[in-house]
Amino acid sequence: MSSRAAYAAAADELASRVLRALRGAGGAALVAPHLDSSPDALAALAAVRVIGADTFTPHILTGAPFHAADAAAVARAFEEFPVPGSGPSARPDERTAAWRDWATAQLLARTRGYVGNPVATVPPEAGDDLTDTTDWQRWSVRMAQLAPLATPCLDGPVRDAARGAALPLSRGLTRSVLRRDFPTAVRLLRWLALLRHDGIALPVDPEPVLEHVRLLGGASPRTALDLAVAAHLLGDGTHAGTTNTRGTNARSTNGNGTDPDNRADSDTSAGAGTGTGTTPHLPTEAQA
Amino acid sequence: MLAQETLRPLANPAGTAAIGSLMVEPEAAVSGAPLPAPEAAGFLLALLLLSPKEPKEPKGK
Amino acid sequence: MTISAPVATAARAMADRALSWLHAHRALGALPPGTTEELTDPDGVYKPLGESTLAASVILRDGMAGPGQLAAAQSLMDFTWLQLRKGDMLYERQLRHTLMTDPLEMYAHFVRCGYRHAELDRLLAHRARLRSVHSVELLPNRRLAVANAARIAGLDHGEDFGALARTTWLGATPEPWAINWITAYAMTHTVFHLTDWGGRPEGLPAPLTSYVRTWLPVWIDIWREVQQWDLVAELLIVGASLSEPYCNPDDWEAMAALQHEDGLVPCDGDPVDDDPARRFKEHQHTTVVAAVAGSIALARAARAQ
Repeated sequence: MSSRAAYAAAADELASRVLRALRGAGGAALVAPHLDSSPDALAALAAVRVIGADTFTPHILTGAPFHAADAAAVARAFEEFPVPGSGPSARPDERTAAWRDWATAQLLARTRGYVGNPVATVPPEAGDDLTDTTDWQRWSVRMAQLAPLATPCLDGPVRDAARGAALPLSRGLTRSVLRRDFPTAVRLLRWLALLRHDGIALPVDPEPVLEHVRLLGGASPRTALDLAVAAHLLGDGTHAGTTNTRGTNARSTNGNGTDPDNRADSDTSAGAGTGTGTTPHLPTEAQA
Repeated sequence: MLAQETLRPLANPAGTAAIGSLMVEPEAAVSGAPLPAPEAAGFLLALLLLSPKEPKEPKGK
Repeated sequence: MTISAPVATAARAMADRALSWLHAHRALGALPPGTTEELTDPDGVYKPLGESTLAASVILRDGMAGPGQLAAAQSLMDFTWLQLRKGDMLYERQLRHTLMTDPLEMYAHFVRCGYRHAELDRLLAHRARLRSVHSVELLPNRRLAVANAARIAGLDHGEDFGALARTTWLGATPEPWAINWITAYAMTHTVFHLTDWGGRPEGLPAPLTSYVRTWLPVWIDIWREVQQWDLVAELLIVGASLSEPYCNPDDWEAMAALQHEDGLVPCDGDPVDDDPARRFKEHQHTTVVAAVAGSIALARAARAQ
């Protein structure tokens, strides 16, 4: 098996774990057991880098605890696979990956109790490529690749770009559904679900799309995770979480962090909260 | 603590590249956009100007 | 977005060359000798005759073609009119089949350009007074086709176009991702008839115009990708027929680039046959659509100036 195939399999494995946690199986640590149980340690670490910010989604969306051991495991993945450089001359794909790394590092830095090495959280230089939606086809495919950033607590240029682009995102979603490219469609649906969650008017109704891709979209764990996040954001708790519908979730995490039981024991994250002060739905470090 | 303490950070360009490619998966290369389908044929019997011709035999995809 | 210079250039090339091809190969679309009003295969030659007539009539109506092209359009109409025995055939078919709509639909394009058949006029006026005729159960976009044909032919069918529009697929402003190939054609025809082939863009109700503007780029994109050129060309007509046209230069230039040197526009991505009769049979429709699209876009560009 090539390393890519091994990493992909491990990423699916981790996505399944995240999905189970999102559906309420738990409170137990998530990432650390993933590493412990994997026969291929390198692939398991690579999977953490691939799933990235989505590793935090049970915590963000349902208030499930994000354990210090999990944070350490995420940091370990960054140590094993350092973030590649992504200056202005980087290729679009490299910049896209850099945004995903930034998102993961942001969430890691905000985790209470994390005492490992900090990971650089400087956002990649925001270029026109985020805001220029003239080529809405290519732009929306890129936004699909940035789907892990479609989560309530990550403000920044990518989310700002999405907020101003309900129409290109809707066209991209419609295009992907018609092309029967359901993984891409579900990723774009996450963005539209986030926009709907933020009260932004959409040209296309996301709920029927959600049900449609749920019925037709195949069952890869990573796609299932995207679908579950979208469902959560749309307030559909029947498939994603157990009790945290849109309304209750918003209130439970809004502005005052989550239940103290869910927290790791200390707050040492340097740089926590950078750029997050105005978001309505914050992870543990809401008040940092 | 983690079980993988013995792993040491090392440069792994191939691994980093694999991670990068998994992070930015391209869209499906082949479109499954709707094509002419046999069920359209009955509809076409209604004679109308500029309606499509009867679909050809489905092509192998 | 208005119609840009590159679109106008592509539109002119498409329309001119398509018309030249339709005119040059018109004999391949002749009805077999001895054809009567009882058509055994109405879709075979009779319908294409009507479509060539449509292309010529729109080009003559829009008046954007050069003198040579206008003469070719007129000549093409003369040919199809003669094929239909100067309207006798339409008359006999309508007389024999009161409830059929195709004689009226084909005749309308002739009427637009001044061709009349007195007995057919009288027959159509009689027919228009029959409750039976108005009560035939047609698909909504077909009902619009008949209503528009009646409007062109100067017959008052008393149709409420707005109400008819609401009964179509497009009128429901449905989920844009749940469209299929044949429904896309139904949608294009709803726009064709409500706007009278781009001649009255205001005929498409504002909410539908807005809906089409929102989703047309997606539909053009996905059917371009799978090389459904016939449908793409119809979608280009739709874009050119909106009150604020949607004509993306890249789409128009791609379509114009597909056109063969002789003017044929291929119906899809499959290889084009060398046999003249098969070329005509398979690609006449798309070439008609390209001619209509080009003419409408040029007319809209001229009107905007």
